[in-house]
Amino acid sequence: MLGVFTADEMRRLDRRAIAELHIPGATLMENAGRGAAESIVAALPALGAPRRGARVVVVGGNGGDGFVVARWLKRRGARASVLLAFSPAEIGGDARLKLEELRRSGVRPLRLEDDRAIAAALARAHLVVDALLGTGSRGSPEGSVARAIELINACGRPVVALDIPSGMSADGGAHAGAAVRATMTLAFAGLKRGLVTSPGDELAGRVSVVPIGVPDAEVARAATTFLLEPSDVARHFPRRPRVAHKGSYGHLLLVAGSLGKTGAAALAAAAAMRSGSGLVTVATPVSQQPVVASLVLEAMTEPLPETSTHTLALKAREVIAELAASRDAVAIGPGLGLDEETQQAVRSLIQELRKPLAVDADALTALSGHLEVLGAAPSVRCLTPHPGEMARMLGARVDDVQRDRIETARAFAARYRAYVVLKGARSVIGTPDGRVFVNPTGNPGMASGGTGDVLTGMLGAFLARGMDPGAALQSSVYLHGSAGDIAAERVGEEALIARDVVAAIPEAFRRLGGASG
Amino acid sequence: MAPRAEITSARPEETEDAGERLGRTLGPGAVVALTGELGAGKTCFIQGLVRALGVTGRATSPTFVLINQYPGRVPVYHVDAYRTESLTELMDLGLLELLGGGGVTVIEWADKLESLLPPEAIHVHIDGVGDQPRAITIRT
Repeated sequence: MLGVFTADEMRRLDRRAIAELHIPGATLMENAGRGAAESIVAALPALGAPRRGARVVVVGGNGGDGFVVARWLKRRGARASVLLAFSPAEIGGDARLKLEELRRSGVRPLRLEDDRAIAAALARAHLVVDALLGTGSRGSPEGSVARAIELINACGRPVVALDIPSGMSADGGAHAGAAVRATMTLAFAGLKRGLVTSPGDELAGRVSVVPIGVPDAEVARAATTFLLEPSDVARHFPRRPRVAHKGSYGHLLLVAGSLGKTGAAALAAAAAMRSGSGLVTVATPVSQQPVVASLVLEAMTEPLPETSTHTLALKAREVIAELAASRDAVAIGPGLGLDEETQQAVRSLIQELRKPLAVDADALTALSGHLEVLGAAPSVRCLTPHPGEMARMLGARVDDVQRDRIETARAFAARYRAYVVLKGARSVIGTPDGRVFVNPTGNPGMASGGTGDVLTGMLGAFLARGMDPGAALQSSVYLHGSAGDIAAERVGEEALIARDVVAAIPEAFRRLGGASG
Repeated sequence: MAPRAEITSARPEETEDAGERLGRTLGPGAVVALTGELGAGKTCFIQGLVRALGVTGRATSPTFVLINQYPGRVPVYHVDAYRTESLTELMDLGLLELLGGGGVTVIEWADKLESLLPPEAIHVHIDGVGDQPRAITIRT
């Protein structure tokens, strides 16, 4: 997994590298720029530029990395030019040094203020490098910088952004003004939050990390937020031993369904089976049992006492506790309904069941105003709220939950000692140890009824097979998004329904690589 | 091509004045091609020229930057064509096509790109170095 940093965390890492590891700032700058130039050279064919003699226009601000990039691009055979957004007199410190080195290498920057002249120069480039603003800039770009950003966006050439696209909010959230739309972003030392969260991720294009000479261990130590990679998930799915039997892969108890909501139970059960659970038992209100049973062939069903409206009754608690005793994990929530008696039953189950528990949908609503039951629970609790459910649980507004999704998830997990995924564009996973994981998979087509139930089933399956809760949550969220992406390739985002996601789970495992397919 | 003016300058200030007088006659699209040895006073001449065009800051020798732009009544481009690779770069970037556009362009070491200059370019040559008086020739 890759570390994801705030501007502040990055600044501290830089300072530490300089003060304690004795790596001069100019050296970090040189490493960053040289690494970026090498990445650009490697990407030239993909960006539609010739390998030798590519015209590259670096649009530089008052940071030095762009100057280093231009110097190394020239050494690697490109025709590099630098357009300065600031007068050379305004450039000081290490950047000044790099500007001098650039000049000595034979590249003299150009200072243009006329839009037509800048546009002409950009239009002639094979490739534009955006080195205007870095993570240190605050607020919305102004004056010549804002104009340069707009001219870069209008030039119609591939754009490589250094560290972050200029104008993007490094710490995530909406950008305040003009922002560069990059084809590719080369992040220095580590990813920045804005690059991997919505809506900044749409500005970043393809993102890769360029090391700047700070030891990997130091970078890793500074990270509290991570972007999931396929390998983080694949390692939890080693090849199955040939002597495996269905008991080896766990038995999930799924508490789900009510009159009119049997589909939720069936989708979750099917997803659990497709996710490699050895056995799945669906416990559902007695009148609904035949319906659920007929919808999923591979799962067993158990009848639960029900209310007059055919939802789970309070006295179902004892039955469920008994069923849970011989299962490895429990998933609770899909299609249970909002009947007050049902909600009360669910609440006490969340508090008392001595098994790892996946909590979703109507079971999350049962926690609104009662989050203290999480802290009292005797075993692991994994919650899968969408922003609306999260807001309801916390008694907050959806805007407040969404403003800083990473910190919302982190604070929730730490405070209630639960594992939580805040779903939505770029789902974020909070764990009680304070770490947060950002999921790269998924698409807007998955905003469709029942896809959440699919995730619950997958999560339940992974808990049942004995995975630790962090791994189970990461794996289920990643594979669920990946299955959604595969489903979108097959049927398109518009038409995508939850069943398509279940059907794509096998391919999602295959794409993980390794033995899991 | 008949010389339009022959000026003798004994001091840098007089060279600057000569530049200022020429600057006052320039409008959008003008191209001034400046030649002369190192130390002849090209930068002095340009100082006066850009002042006449309403540029408030000082023009600097463009050895640091290949092309500089000053905001004045019209955009003023200050180009250094000393090295042939600089020319290639300017051509690569389509910047020579801006000559004769909406701004005034002043090119130092313009002898290197004689063939690329528009026919209406104004040629300024400064003769003499060191303590010698300068002979400034302005041809249109």
